[in-house]
Amino acid sequence: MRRILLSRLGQGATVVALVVALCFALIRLVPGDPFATSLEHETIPAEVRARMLQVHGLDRPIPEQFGRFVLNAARGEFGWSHSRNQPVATALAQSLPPTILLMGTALLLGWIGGVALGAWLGWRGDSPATRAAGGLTLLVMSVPEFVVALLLVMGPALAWGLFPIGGMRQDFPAAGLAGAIDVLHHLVLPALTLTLLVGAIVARHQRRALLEVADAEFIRAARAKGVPERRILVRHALRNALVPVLTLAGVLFPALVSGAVLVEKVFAWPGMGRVVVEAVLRRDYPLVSGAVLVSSLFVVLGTVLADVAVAWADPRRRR
Amino acid sequence: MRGTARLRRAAPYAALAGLAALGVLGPWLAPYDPLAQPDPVGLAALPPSWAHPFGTDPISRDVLSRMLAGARVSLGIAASAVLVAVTVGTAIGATAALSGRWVDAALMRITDAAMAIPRLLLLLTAVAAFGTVTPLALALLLGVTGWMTTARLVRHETHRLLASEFVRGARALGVPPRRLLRVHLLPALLPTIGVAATVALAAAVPLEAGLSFLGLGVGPPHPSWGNIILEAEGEVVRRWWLVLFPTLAIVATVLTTNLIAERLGERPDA
Amino acid sequence: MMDAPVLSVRALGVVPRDSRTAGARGPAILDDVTFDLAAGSSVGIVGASGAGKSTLGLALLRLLPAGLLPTPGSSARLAGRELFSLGAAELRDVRGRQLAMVFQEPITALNPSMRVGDQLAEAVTVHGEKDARAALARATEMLDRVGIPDAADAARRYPHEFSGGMRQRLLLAMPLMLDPLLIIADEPTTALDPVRQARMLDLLEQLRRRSGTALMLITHDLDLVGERCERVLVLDGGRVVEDGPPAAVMSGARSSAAQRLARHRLAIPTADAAARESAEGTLADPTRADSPRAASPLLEVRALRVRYAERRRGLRATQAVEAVQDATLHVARGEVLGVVGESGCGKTSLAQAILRLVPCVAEALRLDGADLMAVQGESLRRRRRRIQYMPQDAGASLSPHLTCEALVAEGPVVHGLCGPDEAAARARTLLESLGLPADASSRLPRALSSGQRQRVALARALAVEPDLLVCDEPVSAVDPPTRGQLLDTLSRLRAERGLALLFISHDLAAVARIADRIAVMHAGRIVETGPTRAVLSAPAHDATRTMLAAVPTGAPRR
Repeated sequence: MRRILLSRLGQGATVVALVVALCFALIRLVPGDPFATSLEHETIPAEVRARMLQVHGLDRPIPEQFGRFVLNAARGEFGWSHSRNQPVATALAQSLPPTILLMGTALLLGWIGGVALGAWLGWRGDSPATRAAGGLTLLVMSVPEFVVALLLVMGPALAWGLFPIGGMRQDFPAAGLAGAIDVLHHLVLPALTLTLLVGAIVARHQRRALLEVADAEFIRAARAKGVPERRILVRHALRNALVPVLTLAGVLFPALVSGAVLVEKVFAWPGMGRVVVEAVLRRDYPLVSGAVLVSSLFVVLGTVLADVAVAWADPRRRR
Repeated sequence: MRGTARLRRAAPYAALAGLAALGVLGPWLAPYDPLAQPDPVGLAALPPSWAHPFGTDPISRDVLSRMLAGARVSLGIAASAVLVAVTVGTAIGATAALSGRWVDAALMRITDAAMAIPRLLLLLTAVAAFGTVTPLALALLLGVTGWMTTARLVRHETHRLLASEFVRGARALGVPPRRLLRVHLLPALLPTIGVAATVALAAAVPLEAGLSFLGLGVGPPHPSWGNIILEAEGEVVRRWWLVLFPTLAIVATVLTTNLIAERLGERPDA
Repeated sequence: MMDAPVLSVRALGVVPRDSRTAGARGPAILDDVTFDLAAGSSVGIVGASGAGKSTLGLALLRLLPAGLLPTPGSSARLAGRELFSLGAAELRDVRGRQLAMVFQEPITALNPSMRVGDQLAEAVTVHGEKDARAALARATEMLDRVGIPDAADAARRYPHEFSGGMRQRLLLAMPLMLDPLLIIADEPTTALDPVRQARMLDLLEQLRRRSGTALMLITHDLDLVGERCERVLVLDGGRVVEDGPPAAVMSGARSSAAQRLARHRLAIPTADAAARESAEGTLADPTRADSPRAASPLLEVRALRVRYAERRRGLRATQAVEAVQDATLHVARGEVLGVVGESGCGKTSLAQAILRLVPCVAEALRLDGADLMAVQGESLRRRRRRIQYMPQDAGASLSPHLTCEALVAEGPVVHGLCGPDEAAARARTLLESLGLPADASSRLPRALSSGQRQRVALARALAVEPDLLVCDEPVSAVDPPTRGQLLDTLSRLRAERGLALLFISHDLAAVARIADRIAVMHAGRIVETGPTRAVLSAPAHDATRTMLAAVPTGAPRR
């Protein structure tokens, strides 16, 4: 088990190194430089531009720039965000907690709900209820998350006035418990959007995995032993259907981050996604690359943890 | 009984074919010029009526016509993106599986890294770097950011096939390597590539819509399903038709694609 | 008659379920099956593939697949309790405690993510044992009883950590946890070599005796039933066509199904029987076997070794496993050499090394004087035409997306023997000459039966006109009539084409029927070689004797 952890961490480190290189390449290898144009002027005066390039070290050879980029990233320094007029690290530190709150809630609720729903769908077999619920999960999976978000804004928020249409707090936030309740109130709709996304995907995969396991001979063997159905489901079927669902994490985590970008935009949730969209619109490269790097690191970490969980779930992979 | 079963099996394929036909024929079916603004004041943001079944947008363009034109843009971008993604993914996945251990490991770590970066962020960054993007460039960008799932699926399946009895059988018969690849391996890979293509399509359509919705995809004046929704921003309840109809189009496309993907994936011999 | 039967089955029928009306549809799988089984006794259920044997076992356990349904009048009483009217809770109580099953395939029948001890203990806990530690202790005791070394440690391991033979024992331990009244064993040993088969059934017998458990042994091997069971039921088309002591059924079968099964029995010739049979010409001609044209053998193998690197658990070091050590053999033109040995003795590795499908080292590996070790790439590929291979799972060796004609025609084309059109025509002729239906050539392999697929694989090998055909366990997983047909076909080909065979099998009777000479393998080495009759009647090595002793003869085992 420790060997598998080490080997997965090693793979994760390789991936992180590649992600860092990719982020660097993305920013530096595209045509033009960040100071070629600005929102205020068609073109920036040549001398200003040269000065800016020098200040940001962009006139140095590419390998040197890369070395600095890596060193700075390792120290948690991602440069200066000119659109927000603050260090990138500070901007990210401010926007990260709301995003973690949003995605963590969605991941937790969506995963639990998806596993439960998928288990029911896969174990109950074919009935009108499972067919309807199965179709519904497929439908939810097929609606883009920003559309779900828009529909929730249109219905519960705007038309019925049950929830705030955006933001994370009231304009004049209350303190203590009332403040926390206020945040939760704002959280409901954006979190619900992402929970539906996660839940539908997890449910589809859980259903499929369980359908495959249900035909296995060892399930029949457990029945022949006289094991009660509920115990067969929990101890024999779900346990062995866990692997495909855990493996899903590698696809699900990045999809969730992408979804969060759109959902934060619709609900004006002050998280990283919104920061990135604004940074992109204002061509704030250091902020964009910092945000991409940080979110990718989270994804890699999540995937490594999922890999380790897979090794735990399937003893045959603990080699 | 058997007839309806066959009909149900064929339905998603027929629906996808119908959508593709709309994409090809759309501009000729459109009742109005999708770019024309006949009366930006008097005809602005009208709800559905007989003259404009899907209503008009804030600058008086006919939404039905824009959706039909947008079908070609949205589906065209998605289809080209899938073509790029599946070609690149198949090449990388098959190369990884057919090469030695080190090439395999290197290609897979690169795939992991490309997959770890959330695709929308990658696209946003690229769009930011290039400024505005043409539909063709957008298709290419969607393609080069979407090959990873295909690569993984194809690599896994190729590994499985290489270890299979029938490949061993063909080798024992003395089938030359090129022919082994062309006659025995590639056709056996096709179902997997089909699954990968449908999965890629089901991801590309909403991504294009999402980018256009953020104002970073297909730029004005070209219509796409995503940027029609964008026209409603801020007024989603009052201008519901601007959200509803493009949404239905997107959902119909993704739903049929997802259905096909599941069918292909559940086929016992796939 | 018998004292109170433990199981009495009356008018048991099983039919396919119609998905729409949930009623019966199509012809019956089982029809009016009626028999009694005395406590502690043993019955063999025998029949060809598709006769309904497995369905009978599953129906009694009420584990029929969703598409099958027992008929309304069916009755089966186990110790007085009607199985077909049990509620869910009662059914759970009967399963495992009174009625248990031995499954065939240890890889699929054991839960891969549950410790072995827990899986065994579960049988006790779900039947009322509250003390988890006592249940585990019982599981450990059972592991010890089925002969698994260091049972306490084994109980904490997962199924994949056991060797194949040990896993077989785990399968036996499972149903015996609760001393049931009746054990149903569905083809428990079909894929095993005779030594393992005998070991496993001896163990079952010993444990069964202890607890007075009755046995229902489902198999297609009439000899095995004769050896192990007091009674035999022969099924044909879902009906019981024969019921009686095995000896009576084997000698005086009234039904055609039983006669067919009895006719396809293959016996290993004893010394005097061999002399008699060779006089009748049924056994391979010994004069040819005794004087192999050793001067110019077709295939010459000297000191061949195959080694697999195996990564040791927990350590970085790799350990080499010698699958084949210093194998030396030769096959003359038109000769049949049988290679026999227990599972895992290196037979398959030897075959694949000769075919250059796995890496090996050898002092000499020559085909018709030409060195096979020296060739690589293109010249190896061309050389492959002359040695063809029929692998163990011949059906799986056919590319699933190509038609049978394309599969058979491919060889001649890639080896430049003829053009595509002529190759296709030849393929059709060849397929027909091997007894496949005329429309088989345009079908995909999965549309054929497994016996037919095997013949397609044979046709593919023959199409390139090889000098030597290597067959790996061609008859170990098929029922006796199919086995008989294949052996006849191979003998005919050999006579017609002068084809030499390397025939690898653990089925000694089949080898005795077809081989001129036999090489016995044991633990990676060839321990004995000689003319078939000599080896079988006067075995020189212990491994050969053990194998011969383990082959079922049809007579009750003492």
